[in-house]
Amino acid sequence: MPEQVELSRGAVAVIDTAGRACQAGVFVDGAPRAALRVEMVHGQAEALIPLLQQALAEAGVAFADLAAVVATVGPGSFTGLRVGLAAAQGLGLAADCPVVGVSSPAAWAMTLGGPLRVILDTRRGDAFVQDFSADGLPLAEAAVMPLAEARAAPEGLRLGGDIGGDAAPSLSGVFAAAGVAAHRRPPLPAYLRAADAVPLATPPRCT
Amino acid sequence: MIVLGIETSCDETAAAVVTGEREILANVIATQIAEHRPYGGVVPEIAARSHLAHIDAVLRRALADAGIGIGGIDAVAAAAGPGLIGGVLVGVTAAKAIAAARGIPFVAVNHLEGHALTPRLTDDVPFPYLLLLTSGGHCQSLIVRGPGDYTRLGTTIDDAAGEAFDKAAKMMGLAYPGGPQIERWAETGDARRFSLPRPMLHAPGFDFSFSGLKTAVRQALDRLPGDPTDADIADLSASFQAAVTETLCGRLAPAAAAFREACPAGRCLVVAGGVAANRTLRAALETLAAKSGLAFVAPPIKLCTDNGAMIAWAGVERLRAFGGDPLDFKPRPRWPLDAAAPKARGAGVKA
Repeated sequence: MPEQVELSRGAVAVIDTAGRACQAGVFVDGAPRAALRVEMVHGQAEALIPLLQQALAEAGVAFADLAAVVATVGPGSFTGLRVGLAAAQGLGLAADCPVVGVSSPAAWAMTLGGPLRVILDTRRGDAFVQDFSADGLPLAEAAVMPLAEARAAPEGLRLGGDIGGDAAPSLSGVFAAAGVAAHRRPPLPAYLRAADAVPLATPPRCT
Repeated sequence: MIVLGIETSCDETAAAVVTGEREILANVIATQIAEHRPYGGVVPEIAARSHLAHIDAVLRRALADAGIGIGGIDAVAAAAGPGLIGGVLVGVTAAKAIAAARGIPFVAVNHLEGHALTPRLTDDVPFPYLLLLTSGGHCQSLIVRGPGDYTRLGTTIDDAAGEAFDKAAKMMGLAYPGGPQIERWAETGDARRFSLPRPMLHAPGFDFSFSGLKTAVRQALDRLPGDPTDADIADLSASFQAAVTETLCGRLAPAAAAFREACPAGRCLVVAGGVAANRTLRAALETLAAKSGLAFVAPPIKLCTDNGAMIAWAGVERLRAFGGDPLDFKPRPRWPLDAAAPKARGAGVKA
């Protein structure tokens, strides 16, 4: 189970494609050995695997020696999450190691430090929002709300996230969040909305 | 050579393990039909979500069925287009990650080439052959000369044949996917009751058209005195299936003659793609092949609809011919088999 995966020993690959960047890094015994980041809105499907190879090469770690893979699960870019999580699952299978998903707002909270409200642009005119305490623990579930409402944070919480212009949390923030049980998730996307589809008015006739 | 093949370009999450000696060691298909059926067709966002939710289990199941570990795989192939990009990304990225982690080749397979080369996996058909590729997204006749070597003879200028099945079924209130539904209703129907057109039957060239047929189904339904009865549905299904079959065969007959002329050594007419699962069409194509002096080859139905084995096999063939592809390969939502073919009138993405 991901809850029990120990990340402070051995080599851990870290992937983040939930925001406006493609990131791949390697941590060994809890310390960063490689952290690569290329800011981009599109193109992660092409960029991620070569970036990951480069990160492992810089860290001097072989894929077969990975003890775990960490990847952000959003909420975030729909396409980016397909790429990052499919890569993480493929790596987990091929390197025979566990895959740990981590909440993106938590990765931002670990990057920026609390107390804060993490606001992530959905690129659909509203925002993903989650509040964190001074010790980086969530004060509420993540939610979708209009940007103006998101900016009216409760007193004592500063604003953070990609609305400030940063493309993505740091890989150290992602890795730190993955070390906290409350921030771990299954390695599948965190969706805050149902799929955009309307069922048929009349149920179809079957043979 | 043992190749893992991954297919995620439409509504099946599939993985298979195939050897260079044409053995299928595993062929796992997780279909999303039940997830899409309430919407009357494939919903791209639902498909993209579902592929990611199922890919890991499908891959592990394929390896378990094959009785080998990931270490026994020599290369990994994935359908890299054409198709719904949200799903294609999932299969391609998982494949690239496995290839990188194992240090084995990655092969980016054109989904259509997977269908096109399937008769070589199932029946060892020699090049060149004439192919009717007919599915929900495509309808083309092609000369297949080798991996990556295709000459398009005809293509649809509007809907694909499978798309016409789906749309006609939807109009009749039948469930998605329409092909199998219409085929079942047609079994008890009278194919002569409704007079439906055979579009472009006598036009020059080899192109197909199904849009007018769809309109004729709409008009036939509108002319009924009330809601269609079961008998109406059965008769219209049979009439529609007959019209599609005659249209496909009518347009393929001159293509077969052109193929014989261009490739005197060619011996086979092959059908592939999801619509090739239709038994009435298979029977009619067998007759057409015999009349044209060609042997008829139709893969088993399970290998006509989308599957991972066809991707793994195309991976085998491409690896032998060209080697692997780079790990920064960009998936291609549009990817014609014959890139040099002229743009067909109105054909858009389906050419």
